Amino acid sequence: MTSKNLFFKLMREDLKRRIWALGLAFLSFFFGMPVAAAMGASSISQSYQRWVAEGATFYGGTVSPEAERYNRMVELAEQIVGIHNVFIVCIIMTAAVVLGLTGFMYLHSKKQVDFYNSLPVRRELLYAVKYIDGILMILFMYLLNLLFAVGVFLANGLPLSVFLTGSLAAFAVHMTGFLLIYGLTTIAVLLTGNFFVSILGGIVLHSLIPSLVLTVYVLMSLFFMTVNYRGMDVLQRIAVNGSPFSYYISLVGDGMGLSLIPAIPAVERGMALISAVPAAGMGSLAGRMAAGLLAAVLMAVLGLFLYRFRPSEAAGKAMAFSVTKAPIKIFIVVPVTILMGVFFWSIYSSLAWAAFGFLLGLLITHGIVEIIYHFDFRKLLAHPVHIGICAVLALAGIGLFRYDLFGYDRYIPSEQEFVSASISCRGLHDWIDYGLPRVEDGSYSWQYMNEDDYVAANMGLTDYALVKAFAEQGIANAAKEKDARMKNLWNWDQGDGYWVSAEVGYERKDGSRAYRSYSVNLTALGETMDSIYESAEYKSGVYPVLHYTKEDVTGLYEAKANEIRQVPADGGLLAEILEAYQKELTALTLTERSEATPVTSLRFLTTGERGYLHAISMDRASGFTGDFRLEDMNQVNFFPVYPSFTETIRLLKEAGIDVYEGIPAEDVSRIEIHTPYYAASDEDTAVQRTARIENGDVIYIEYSSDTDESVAILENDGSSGQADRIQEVLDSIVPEDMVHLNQLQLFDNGLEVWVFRNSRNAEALPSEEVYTVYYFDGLNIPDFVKEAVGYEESGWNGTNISYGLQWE
Amino acid sequence: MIEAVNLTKRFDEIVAVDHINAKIRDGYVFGLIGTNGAGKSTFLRMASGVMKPDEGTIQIDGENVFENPKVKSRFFYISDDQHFFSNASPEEMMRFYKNIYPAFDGPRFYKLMDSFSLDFRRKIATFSKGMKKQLSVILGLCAGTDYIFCDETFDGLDPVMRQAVKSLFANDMAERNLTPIIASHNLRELEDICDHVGLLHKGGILLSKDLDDMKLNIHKIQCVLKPGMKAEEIPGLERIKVEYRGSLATITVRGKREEVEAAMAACEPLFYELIPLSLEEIFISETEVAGYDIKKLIF
Repeated sequence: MTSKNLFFKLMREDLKRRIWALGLAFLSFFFGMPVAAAMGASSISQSYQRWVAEGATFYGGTVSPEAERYNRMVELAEQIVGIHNVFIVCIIMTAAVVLGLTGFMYLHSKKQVDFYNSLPVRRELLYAVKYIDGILMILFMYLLNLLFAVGVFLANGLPLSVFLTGSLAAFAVHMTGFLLIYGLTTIAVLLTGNFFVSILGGIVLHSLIPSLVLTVYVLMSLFFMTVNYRGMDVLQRIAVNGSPFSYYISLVGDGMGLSLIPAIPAVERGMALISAVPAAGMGSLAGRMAAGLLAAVLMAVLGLFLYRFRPSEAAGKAMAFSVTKAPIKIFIVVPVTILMGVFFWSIYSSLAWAAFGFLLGLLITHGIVEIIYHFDFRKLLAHPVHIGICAVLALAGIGLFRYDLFGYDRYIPSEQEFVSASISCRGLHDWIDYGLPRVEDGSYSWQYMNEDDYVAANMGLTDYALVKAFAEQGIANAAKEKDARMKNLWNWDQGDGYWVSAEVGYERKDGSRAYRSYSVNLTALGETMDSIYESAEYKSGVYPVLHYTKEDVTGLYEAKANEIRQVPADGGLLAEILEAYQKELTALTLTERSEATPVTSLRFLTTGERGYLHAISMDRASGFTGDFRLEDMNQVNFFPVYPSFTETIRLLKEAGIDVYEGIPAEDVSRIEIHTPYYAASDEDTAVQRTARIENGDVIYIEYSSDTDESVAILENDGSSGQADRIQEVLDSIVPEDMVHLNQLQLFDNGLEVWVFRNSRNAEALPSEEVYTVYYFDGLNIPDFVKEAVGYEESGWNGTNISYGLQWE
Repeated sequence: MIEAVNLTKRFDEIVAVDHINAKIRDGYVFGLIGTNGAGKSTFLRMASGVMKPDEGTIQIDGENVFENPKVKSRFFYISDDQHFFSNASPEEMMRFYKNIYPAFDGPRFYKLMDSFSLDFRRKIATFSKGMKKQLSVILGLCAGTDYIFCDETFDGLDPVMRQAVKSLFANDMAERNLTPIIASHNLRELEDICDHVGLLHKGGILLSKDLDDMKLNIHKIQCVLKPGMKAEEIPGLERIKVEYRGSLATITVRGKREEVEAAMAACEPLFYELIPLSLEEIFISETEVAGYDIKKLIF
């Protein structure tokens, strides 16, 4: 008999033995695909019949019931035979574990080992039969039920071309995931000699690398003060790629992001019936699948090697290969010991508790592993030398991080290896929206971007001395913070000044990047920070508007006091304003930012943003055909205009916008000044009151111990004295949105000025009265306001620490 | 011929088979005797290629057994607790083995199943221990291999079945030169079937001899000697053991039958006769010579 014939005969015999698995797999996929598809299609058909009977149309009459039915069927196909079917993910994971565990479980039985290994069949052949059978069972059951589901969709009028690519890609992703999980589970079974131990072994193998990464991550987070998550991308990648489960889930996630069976955007429904859309990013997914398949093949080969050399007498023992016992034990015990030590230390911040946790983790984990290895409780303390080795390794691991033997926190690249750096100071540019409109498959979405991501991608500071000076302060602060933390002092003495969290990214000559997070006192940095901020490289990395070109910009909008209006500037003037603004923003200094509030803000609307707004207006307003509605524009991507931007301000005035235009008192019906100050003590309720300012007098009308704020009200009663007081307040305040655009200037954030304007409330009901929030510019607060709100009595005020200023 | 040379197998600190040298000739029944833990099963598991020897070799006609399908196709191994597929019937097992052993004799399987009154469609899980043993033997015999390895196979068979199996073995030995290798801890089980016996103890082989050779050279004499004469005084006898019951002496001696009879005739006893030795007695005698107390080893 040829080996080939024997192979197939053995496969057939093995399948007979595992008919239960075939049945379960069939049922799972059957309900997961064809049944779900038939139920969904039936539901859509019923809805369609109702729409036709009711004469319904969709999306402002642009979509017929037929088109809507078709489109919903496409969505259903994506959910059932596409990568979005989460039920299939669950089936695949479960099947891979169950088949991996049961396929070679016979190796744990002496009786069955005697039976199989006495047969005149090579072990390699037996392994191949069992291994491939496990794969084929899932592969065929998946394909069979996919075929049934495809039949359902074809019967419902969906062309195969619409979902063929997506369903085959989903199949490939799922099979890759299956092969990876199945392969490693099989290895766990081959390494062990007992079913219970093989389950534990599977858990260990599947979670080993993520657990090691977690240990490193915890140690870094605890002992490194300058840890930056961006710099930990490598760890994250290792964790994701280090376990078949996480790799499979990430593959599914990648596939989901590709829209392989593209759903039709609402705004385009009915415009055209879609056909298969080539998926962007398919190459990347295919590459990752290929890597996954390669890993699966390597695991299968390793499995063969283990099967070939696995001693028959291993059946019934905990571990099949004695040589693996110690390394696996160490890989389990050392991380657990470290984590337990660190866990107890982080709870109680005490060395004694850390030692307790360390010893607990060491002895218990080692003891449990030994008991499992020997199936004998008396072996709890077997191999004391191993306990010692684990203790030394765990201590060494902790020591490496505790004493930063890597020099992680002290790292600054040498001038020779330095190319450029990015510095993202939170607190200097929190207010900028880094989102961008994204067009995908004809639909628009807003892709939010983290400010640090933007800076890391766009900033390239080349002045090594400046970067080094910045980093050195960060490193010195990190050392102080660590000293304090190691002494259980979580609040360390930072000293006065304007402190920010900063992310610094170093680009090196070899093309690699290293990132660190520092706590930095910008006030103490003084001229160094001024020089950094004033450099074009810094500005270019922080302000997206500096990358705009006049060709990109299609319109100009001004926002101030929560009101957006279009700046009537034509192409030529618009280009001039853009050029002037970019020039003046580049010249902006921190000194000005610490002294002045923006006078207004501008948005240079790009082509992409216009398309995005158009899509939103189309979606929100039935039958909308224009450009876009101004009310659909949010106050995003508006950049500040400071008093020093004289040329910009001049050009805006030329376009009809006077940024200094104030609010006349006669337009204001009322002003309320809210002071959300708490009393100095629970008993002291003196500042919690409502007052009216009338005829120059402050009249307290209500004291309360229930509220946590005082309110002073100025009603515009039409008298000239009251109008003067209102005007005095109006001349002292700046809009809240302008204050937040800067954040570095001096203002009292404890005094909110609510301005009720007649022009804005003309059509509003009293119950819907609208107001705009302002703050006093600097500390320029009228005396009558201070008296009315008990400003001096409050004990403290909410003054913002201006950059360059100290607490007083 | 199966030949073990310095065959050794260790399980951690335990030496289960310790440098065994043995030859098993084709066409004869080889009995492997020993107490539990003597190494019989381990020897058979190495002989059947289940285990790889730590040292030494075990070969069939000069070829190593381990991972050698060609050699392994020449024997059928019946373990002390033979595995059958869960929920399988004898017929399904037969089909499986038929795929593995090309010379498997299907018609004979049905015939033997009928002879043993075993239902080939019944689930094996419902069989008694003895029925499973019978099925194992039937499958083994029908596999058509040159050798059949039986590990405690006769344990659990009733005397009738045991005899039937022995007959089958004898038949196959005569017809196709089958060589059964039977491991057992019970000497009496092997007494009337073995041609050659190997005695294992603590992993080592104490002796390995043809039963006929042993029987030809050991004799038991029951006699009543002349008054005043002791069995120890009879000249020309190589005595192994002497026992008295009153005036009746039982002497176990080594030597050729003719020489023993001549020596007895010369001392003119009142009565004497040579009676056959059981396998047990032969072993007692042989191992005592070797310095072992066989009763401690086997019984």
